[in-house]
Amino acid sequence: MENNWLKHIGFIGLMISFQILVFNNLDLSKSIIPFIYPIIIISASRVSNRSLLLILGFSLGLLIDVFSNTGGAHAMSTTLLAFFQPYLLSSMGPSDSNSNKIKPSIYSLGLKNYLVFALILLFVHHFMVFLMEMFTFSNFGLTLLRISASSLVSLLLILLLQFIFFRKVK
Amino acid sequence: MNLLTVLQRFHVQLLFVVLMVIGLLITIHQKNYQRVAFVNSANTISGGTISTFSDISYYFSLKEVNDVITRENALLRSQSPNSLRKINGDYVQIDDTLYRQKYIYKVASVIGNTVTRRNNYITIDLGEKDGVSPEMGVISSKGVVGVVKSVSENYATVLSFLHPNSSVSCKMNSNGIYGSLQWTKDKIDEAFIKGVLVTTKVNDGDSILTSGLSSLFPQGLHLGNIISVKEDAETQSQIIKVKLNIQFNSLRKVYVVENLFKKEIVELQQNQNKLDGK
Repeated sequence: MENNWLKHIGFIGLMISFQILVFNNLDLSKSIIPFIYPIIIISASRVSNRSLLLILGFSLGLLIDVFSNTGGAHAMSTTLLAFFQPYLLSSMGPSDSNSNKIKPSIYSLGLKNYLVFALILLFVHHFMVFLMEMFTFSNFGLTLLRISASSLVSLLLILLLQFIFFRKVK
Repeated sequence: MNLLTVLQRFHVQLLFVVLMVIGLLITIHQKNYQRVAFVNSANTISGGTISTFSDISYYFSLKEVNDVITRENALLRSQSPNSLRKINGDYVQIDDTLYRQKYIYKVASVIGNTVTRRNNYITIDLGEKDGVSPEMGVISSKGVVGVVKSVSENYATVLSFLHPNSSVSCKMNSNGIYGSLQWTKDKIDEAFIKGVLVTTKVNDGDSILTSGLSSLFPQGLHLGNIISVKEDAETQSQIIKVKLNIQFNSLRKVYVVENLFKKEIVELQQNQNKLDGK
């Protein structure tokens, strides 16, 4: 059990460092900014305490905000993400007591289900980040394009991370 | 249903709303009070982390930095008294009291810099300890970088020129017309000047210099050249596009500009505003 906790914290730390030190400095193009740290919230299992998940989301976002000068944009987005994740997760896949403890991943949900699941959540998250950063609805079409493109790149990166960090469960 | 049962049933939703409101307040706070450092990279912890990693990546661009410094050295050397030929032998300048130092420059390293966002900020390794304070200008040898926004003990955050709220008072070299230079928001090396009357003749390719009107930046710093002029029929004015000299994505060393007369100028302007009843 203790070993498990260490693993969780290590994973969270690694994702945050990746985001701050690598992806925040990546100049893909002017419009695309990938965010990978939402994988921490997306991968929360069904039995997670929802209030705790909200607080984790908020603190996680705030930490990213501190490092990227974005006010409270990430804090809000990640809170929103943490709020919707359990709702979406409960509408997906089998719900017997056994599968409740499993973390959502491409192995546990299946590739197709996971793609839909992660894309919806990433879009919600990115939507809020970009909206809060611009703080305006003007030029909304272009913003929507940026959000969609960034979400897709993030999704791709998160899929890659899954192959690296998540083990197949039997 | 009494309040307690409601709280118990909807505690997740309530927590969600509370956290969202806090997030929104922080966001608005940062947008409105630009001087207040609360959540930004001038924080000592985040500043320290960013600076360590910037130190590492700094080595990879040493060659480029050296080139820039050498070029600037050459320029300064050409201006030193040794490089000047004395034309009038009768007067020797010993301690000139005609001129008083107006601007002093402090060299700072860029340790954090974004260029791909809509709102871009730069973090530098000078802070309160080094005499840097908010509302000081920041320049490089190739143009204006931005204005210091907030300061912690060892670091400072700079509102980059690549930010919708940034503007630099400038003038055209050939005709001396004043204007306000702003970022175009889509290319990192393009800016525009708005509101120049159609009757004014603007020369394509003309140099754009800082005007020195704002007391933030010294006068005559070369910012870039005009690349296109467009007429705006609605407002009877011209929109002038300018190609910037400065390359924001390879910024390494910058100068923080301190105007020694700033206090005097600001006081004077405040008095005037008071008289006008503002």
